[in-house]
Amino acid sequence: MTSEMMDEPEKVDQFNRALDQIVMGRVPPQAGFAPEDQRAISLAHRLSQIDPSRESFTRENLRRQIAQRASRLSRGRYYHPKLIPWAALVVIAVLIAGWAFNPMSSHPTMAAPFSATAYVLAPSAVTVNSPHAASAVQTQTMPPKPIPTPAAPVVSASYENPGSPIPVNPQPSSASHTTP
Amino acid sequence: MSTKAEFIHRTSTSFLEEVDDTRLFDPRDFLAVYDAYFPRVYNYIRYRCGDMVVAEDLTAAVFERALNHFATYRPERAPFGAWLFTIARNLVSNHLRAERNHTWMPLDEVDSHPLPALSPEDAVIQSQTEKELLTALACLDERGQDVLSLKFAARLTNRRIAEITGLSESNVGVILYRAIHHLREIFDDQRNDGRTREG
Repeated sequence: MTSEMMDEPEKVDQFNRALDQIVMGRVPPQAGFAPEDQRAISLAHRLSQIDPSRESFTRENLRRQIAQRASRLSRGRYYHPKLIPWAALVVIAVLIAGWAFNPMSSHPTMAAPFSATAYVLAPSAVTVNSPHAASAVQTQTMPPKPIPTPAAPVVSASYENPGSPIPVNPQPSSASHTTP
Repeated sequence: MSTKAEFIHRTSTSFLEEVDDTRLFDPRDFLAVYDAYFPRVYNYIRYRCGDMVVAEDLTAAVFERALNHFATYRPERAPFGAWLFTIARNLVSNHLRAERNHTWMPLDEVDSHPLPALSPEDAVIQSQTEKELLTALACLDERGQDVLSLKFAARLTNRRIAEITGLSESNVGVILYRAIHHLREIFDDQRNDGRTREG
């Protein structure tokens, strides 16, 4: 049958034209068809008349749901999906521009690159950028030196003689000032 | 009726008409889409699945998915019907893949819901014929079922079927030719078996 059909494409075309007529609701002509094709066309006609959609009970419910959803969608603003990435890019660009030209950013680490007032309001930013600032920053970041404790003899003397005043600035011995 | 709704109505009623509309749709027009396409989508799924309840569920899923992705539809790429039936076809394929082990086909619902406009005798005859035809349809191979359903339930042209299935138009014509002849053989065999059993 396959080779037979391959040899007769016109027969297949004619048959398909008849099927198109059936689907469009017209009665196809029976002339020019072999008996077996006529029976097949008749069966196709019967097949086209089957309409199971009449048995559906959920059609109205589904229609109501779709109507509600479609009205919800149409009430809200409609954004085309292709516009969403562009809109996101524009928002990001606006945010970056707002940060870059923000005159109120005073913190040195948050200072905007194009903000002139940022240098005025934050002089430490100038210090950090100057060539001498490196040593200054290093000095500041070094740990503080330990505070020297008072001399032990002075403290012990005060405890040994509670009535005597504590020498606050004990004078160095006169021997140190004498010249040889 | 808005212009878009008119467009959808026109393209759905005249299935042979070529669609060339590059406008985007408004969600409010989707009701017109639903009204125009529901019977064809439902019938297509019913032809493929054979179960009324499954057909209803899948039809609802098709329209839900179409509504969710309504904004992504590009009229310049494919007609709306082809787009909608591509969704339906994918859902049916997924369902059939999931339910591959089920070889039974409950068709009793066809008997329980005869046509209200027909007389009881005609309704019984028609429902019996429907049952036999749908049973015979289920005996075809998957591609034959798919193409026949797209042709007679979805009422698409061979060109649209070719676009949806990825086959060539001439191949669709040959598949339709063979499938209908095969369906007729199965249908005749079923009737002969029934008569033999009755006799």
